[in-house]
Amino acid sequence: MNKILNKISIPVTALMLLMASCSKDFTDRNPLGSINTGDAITTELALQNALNGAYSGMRSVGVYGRDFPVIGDIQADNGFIEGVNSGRYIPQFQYNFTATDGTYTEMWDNVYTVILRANTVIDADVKGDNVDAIKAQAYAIRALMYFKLVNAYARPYTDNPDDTGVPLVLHYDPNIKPSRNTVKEVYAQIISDYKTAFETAPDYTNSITLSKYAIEGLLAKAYLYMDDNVDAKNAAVDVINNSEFSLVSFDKYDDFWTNPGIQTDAVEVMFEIDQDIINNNGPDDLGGIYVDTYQDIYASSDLYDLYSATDIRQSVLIPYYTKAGVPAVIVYKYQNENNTKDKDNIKVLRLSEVYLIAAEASLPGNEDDALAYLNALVQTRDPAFAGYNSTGSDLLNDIVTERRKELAFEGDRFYDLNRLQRDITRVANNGSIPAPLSITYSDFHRIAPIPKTELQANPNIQQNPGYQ
Amino acid sequence: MRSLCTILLMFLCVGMYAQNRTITGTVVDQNSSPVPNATVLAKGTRIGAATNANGTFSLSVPSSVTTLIITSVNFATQEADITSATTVTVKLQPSTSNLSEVVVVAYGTQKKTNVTGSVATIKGTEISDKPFTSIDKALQGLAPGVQSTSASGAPGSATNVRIRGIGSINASAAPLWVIDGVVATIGDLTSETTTANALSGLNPDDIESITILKDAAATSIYGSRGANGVIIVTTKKGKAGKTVLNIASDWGANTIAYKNDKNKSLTSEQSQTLLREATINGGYANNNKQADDFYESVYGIPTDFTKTNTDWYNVVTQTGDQSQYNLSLSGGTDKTQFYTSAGVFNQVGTVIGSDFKRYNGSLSLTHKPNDKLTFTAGINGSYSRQHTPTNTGNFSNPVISSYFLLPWYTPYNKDGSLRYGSNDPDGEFPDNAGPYNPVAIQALDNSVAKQINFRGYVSGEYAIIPELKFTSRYSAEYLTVAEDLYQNPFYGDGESNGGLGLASNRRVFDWTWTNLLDFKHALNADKDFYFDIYGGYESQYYNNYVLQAGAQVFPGVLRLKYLNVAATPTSAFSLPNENATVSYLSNLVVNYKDKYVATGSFRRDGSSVFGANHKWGNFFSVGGTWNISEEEFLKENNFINVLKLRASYGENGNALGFGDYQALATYGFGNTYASQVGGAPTNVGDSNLTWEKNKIIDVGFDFSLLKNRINGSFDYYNRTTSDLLIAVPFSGTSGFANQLFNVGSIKNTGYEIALGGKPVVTKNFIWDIEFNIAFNKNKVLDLYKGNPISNGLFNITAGHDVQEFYIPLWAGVDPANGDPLWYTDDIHSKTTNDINQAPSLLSGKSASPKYFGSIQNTFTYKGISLSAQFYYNYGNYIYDNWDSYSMSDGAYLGGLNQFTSQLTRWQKPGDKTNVPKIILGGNLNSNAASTRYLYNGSYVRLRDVQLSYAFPKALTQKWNITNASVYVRGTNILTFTKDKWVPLDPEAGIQSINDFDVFIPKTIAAGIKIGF
Repeated sequence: MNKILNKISIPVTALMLLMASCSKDFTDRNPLGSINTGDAITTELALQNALNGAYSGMRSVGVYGRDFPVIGDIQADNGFIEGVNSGRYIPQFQYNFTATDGTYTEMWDNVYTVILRANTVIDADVKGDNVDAIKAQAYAIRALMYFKLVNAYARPYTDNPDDTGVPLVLHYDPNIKPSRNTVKEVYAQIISDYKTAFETAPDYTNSITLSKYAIEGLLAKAYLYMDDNVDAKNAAVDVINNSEFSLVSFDKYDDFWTNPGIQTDAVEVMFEIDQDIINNNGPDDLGGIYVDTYQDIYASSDLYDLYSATDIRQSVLIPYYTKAGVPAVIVYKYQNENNTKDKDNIKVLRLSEVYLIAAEASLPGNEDDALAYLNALVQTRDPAFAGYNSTGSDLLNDIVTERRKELAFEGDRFYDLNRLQRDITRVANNGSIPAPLSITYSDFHRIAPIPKTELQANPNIQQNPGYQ
Repeated sequence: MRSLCTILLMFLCVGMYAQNRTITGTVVDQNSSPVPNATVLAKGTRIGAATNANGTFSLSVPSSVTTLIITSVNFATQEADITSATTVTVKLQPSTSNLSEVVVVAYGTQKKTNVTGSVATIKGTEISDKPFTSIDKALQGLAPGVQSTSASGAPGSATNVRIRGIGSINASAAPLWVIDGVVATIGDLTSETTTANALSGLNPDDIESITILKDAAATSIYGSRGANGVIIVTTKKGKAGKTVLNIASDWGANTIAYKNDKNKSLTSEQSQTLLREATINGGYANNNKQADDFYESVYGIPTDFTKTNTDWYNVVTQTGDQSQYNLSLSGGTDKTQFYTSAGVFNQVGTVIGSDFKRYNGSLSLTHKPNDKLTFTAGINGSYSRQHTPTNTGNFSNPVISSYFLLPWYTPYNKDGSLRYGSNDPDGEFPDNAGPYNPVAIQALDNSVAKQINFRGYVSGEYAIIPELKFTSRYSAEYLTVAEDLYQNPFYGDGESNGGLGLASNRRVFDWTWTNLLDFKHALNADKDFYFDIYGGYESQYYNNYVLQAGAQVFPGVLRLKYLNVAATPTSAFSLPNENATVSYLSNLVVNYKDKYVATGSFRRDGSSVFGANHKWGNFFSVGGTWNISEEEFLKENNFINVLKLRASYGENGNALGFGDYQALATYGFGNTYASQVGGAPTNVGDSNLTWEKNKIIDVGFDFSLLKNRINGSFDYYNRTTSDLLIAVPFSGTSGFANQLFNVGSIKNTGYEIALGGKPVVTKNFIWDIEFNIAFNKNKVLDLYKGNPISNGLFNITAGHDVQEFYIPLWAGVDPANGDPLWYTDDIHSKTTNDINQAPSLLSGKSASPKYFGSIQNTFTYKGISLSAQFYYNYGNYIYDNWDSYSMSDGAYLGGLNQFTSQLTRWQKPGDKTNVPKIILGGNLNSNAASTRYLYNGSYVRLRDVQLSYAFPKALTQKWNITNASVYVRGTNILTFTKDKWVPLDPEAGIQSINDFDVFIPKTIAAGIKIGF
């Protein structure tokens, strides 16, 4: 029997080994393109990488990549969509979007994804020399995202601060089902985050990083939207007087828009989101909707007519034709769609806007200051212009008009008209698809619907009036 | 494990003391001609041999063996008593009972009597020589309940197969393919180009058989992967005897299987009629002259446009070559058998820029050093190359161009040069505005996918004792696909990038290692009450590696298409993903005198793709049959030859097709900012994630009547899949979109009937009919919180078919004013001409057929055989994705060409038509997606017709060959649709959505086969 056992011991051992190979390790397979979320951020380098992830999230089509910059104009009076179109932003232009609107769903999800990434940076437990500077940028990104979000999905602060705003989510929690905070609470968080950011923010090195004064400029804008003119003016004036930034000169204005590169000279642009030849939105970037590929949206004739012939800003609006052959004005701020070396960066804040904030925030008390800041900017753009000397509501209107002219197609106009609680009045443009020419401030479409997908996933969320 | 060893040990001991003796014999048929390749088996053991060319065999059997069992294809199983004899002659009788057949089932073969599950078998001869680039395409109509439908007719394209309906939403609903023991990779392997079928490397001529396992009794042994059915492919092996050389070859042509002359593109004159009317209706003109002026100035249409008429359909379609050459050599001795083959397959598609070419070879060896040991090894390799144009709405898709390009455009300039971009004086094809000139794109761009595939196996069988056999088999696949994409810098998609190039390499390596102990033991002296149990262990590993790179700005030299000449690299990517499964499995068959058979199976799977808390799962089945025809009271009956009742129940799972790492909370990269690494949380993970659970009841019967002149089978099934993997949405505020959770359930019920008969059998003439039909009803039972799941044109809703179209309901055209009308609710209570008042609604119309199947007639007269197979499909609806553009009632008129059905437009009050008044710029969004663009998808197709002639033996003997035949074959020859307006082929994939893919071919070929 022993002999037999010896004989069969070989196959049996082989079989045993074979069965043993099915050890626990064999069915433990971890991805080679990602790591466990829990151990992701343990070093300063990993923290910087996480911050980069948050920056790149702002490049999404649903955030600064296209939706915010386009909606800020197409829902106002600056642009129109031509008849031969790719179907994009038509509900926004025609004011018939519903809670299932793809654009507003994409925006909601994409913005909160950036907030998740910023929260991941802010909450990371990492030590290092640059940790505070890195976290400062994450605070600023989070504040910026809530600022954009609350202005898209809630009535402006100037209307009723106690109205429903958007849910404040400040920590990683996939299972969260939050209700909406008030507008006031959201703004309190925005101001707090900007201030925290400002404390430890890095000094300016280039245009694609949130630096100290860029953050203060954004803070000034938030105060302005709260109608807190004192704080807005203080912040804006601090930027104008003490920061390294300067306005782009008349001669360099064209080059400024032509150049898609990262700036390091502190001229004009205080913060922009980087796009390069590898990381960009392809045809779905701003150049694609305005200049090439889809080329759906054109400048409204009344906007074009606002510029005097000597105003350099008119040079980025080019009279040409729609794709269907109707004379129309091409928006030419995003010229690098077909550039095979670099793509347009997306402007978030330029010094010119800080001048306009300083001007507007000087009202109603200090019209001289207001005129000084306003004319400083406008006469840089149009040296032949004699300067404004209006007063009272005319002066405010002039500032608002200059905001429209200066910031056209950078996504600001619609939110200005909202915070100022003004009706929207459009002119009829040749070649345009049909769209309402007047949208009152009280129209429920002036703020976006909470997406249907959110209502289904989150029982605690409340829809905006008028939407289902 | 311990018990397994004990059994092993025990029987090894028994084996050591057994005494052997040698039996020799001859096997002949009813005419006393020798029968080669018959299997001779010592009853109650695994010891066997095959007869040689002279029908003789020699077998060493233990002294305890008293009976031999002799089986051979087409003959009834016969037993021979060897209690006292050492030499026997066995005369086989032609098969009278198909239940005596041996069929391939999970992990081996089984006598059909012992099969309690629902199993369909397709012989290799049923799929060989057909003009299909892969075997999945050949399955259509061959087995009840197996739906094989191609959305694309592109040579080498992927095909979808569904067995007994759709049982999954977010995971795979495709069956498991097992090829020579390996869990095979299926589907489309491409990353950059359009399609490349993982199965297209396998030459159907090398297939011995395909077995389709449908119910739990058959599939539960595949555990967590068996839920959607299993397709077992067995390749050819050598047989002892004379060396046989087979040569087969055919040549033919591919044209388009379906074209609807009622609904095709407009001519220029027809366009003019509509343009004038639409312009006047739009209020832009009062008469034809004004209308001409208007659209000429707005759309830039030339004044003499009606003088030019390009039929773009003809421009992009072609008659493609079809040819194949197959050569195989097989033979061997009692100890060693071999099979080797080589083949070339060539198919040029129906649309420019589509072709497929395959070279393949295979080798299989079986060696039996002694009665106890058998080694088998095989390898099958192929190289294939295919070109496939883009599909769907890509401007470079030639099919979209064929329908959308205006008839007054022309592909060439007057001087014969290609018209595009700067070389287009009329501005018909601007640089990067589409649809592109398809001829120019075809000439300037390139898109190629090349596969090099190997599938192989080695296996050893060791009969430890006659009753106990150990088998170890290692099977592997090594598949590679290399793709090169080039878009030229002058015109089309690459123009804005200065030319664009992409290269991608995918390498799939997977293996399955199976180790089984099979113990067969008789429980009575007659040895007709026995059990057969096997158990063992299997491990499986899968690795998929992708390497990609892209670059732009190319020198404008069209010959230089590869990345090394490009100026700017834009993308680089490499990433493997892998999964692994280990399993313990066991199967039991108990057979009592072939009257009563009970089976049971059990499998325990551990898989890497599931959550830490639910890595392991248990699966089982039980089944039973009652062969009533074996009972005494029916045995002498001349009417009923076979009557077998079957019933089974079991549970299995679905663990396929949803990614390898869904259970894990992951943090990924690739969110690059300013050339720096960007990281972000990517997946929430669910450590409870587990397989979808599938419970199947199957009852059925098989019968054979009147000396097998009539036979058939019937099955009823009910399969309920629960714990469906559903992407449950998170609140968007979390920053995450969704996570797969096990929630929801879906049910498929149906029945399948297969009937066969020989209405006429005379000495020289036989008429054979095969018919099958399968009915399936799908119902979603439960979803996460009852929330419907939006899925393209479907909105998956509890209580409804998973593929029910969810779009506004079209109510026709208002006869008073030609307005489009829709229903405002699903009870059709009110109509509206405002699309905003017409919500998307469940239409009650499904993309899945109510029933489908085939009928085949074969007439054989002496050496001449004529067969015709019709495939039919009833009760589904097809959505044409592009009708919104090509039947737009003026919205795209003048910009994109329209279908001729537009000519039946409403023109004056009282007109009753389905096409609204045409208005330039569109009529009240009449072309919005709605049931207007749904077509009844029922059709009948003459799938296969073949006329063949086998040269008589007298001639072949004179020629010194064994056999020779010639044939003419037609595939997809005729197509009849119920809906006369269906614009594109009614075979439109599982989802029944036409998406401008390469047209399905109609192939006519003639061939010759010679055997030496």
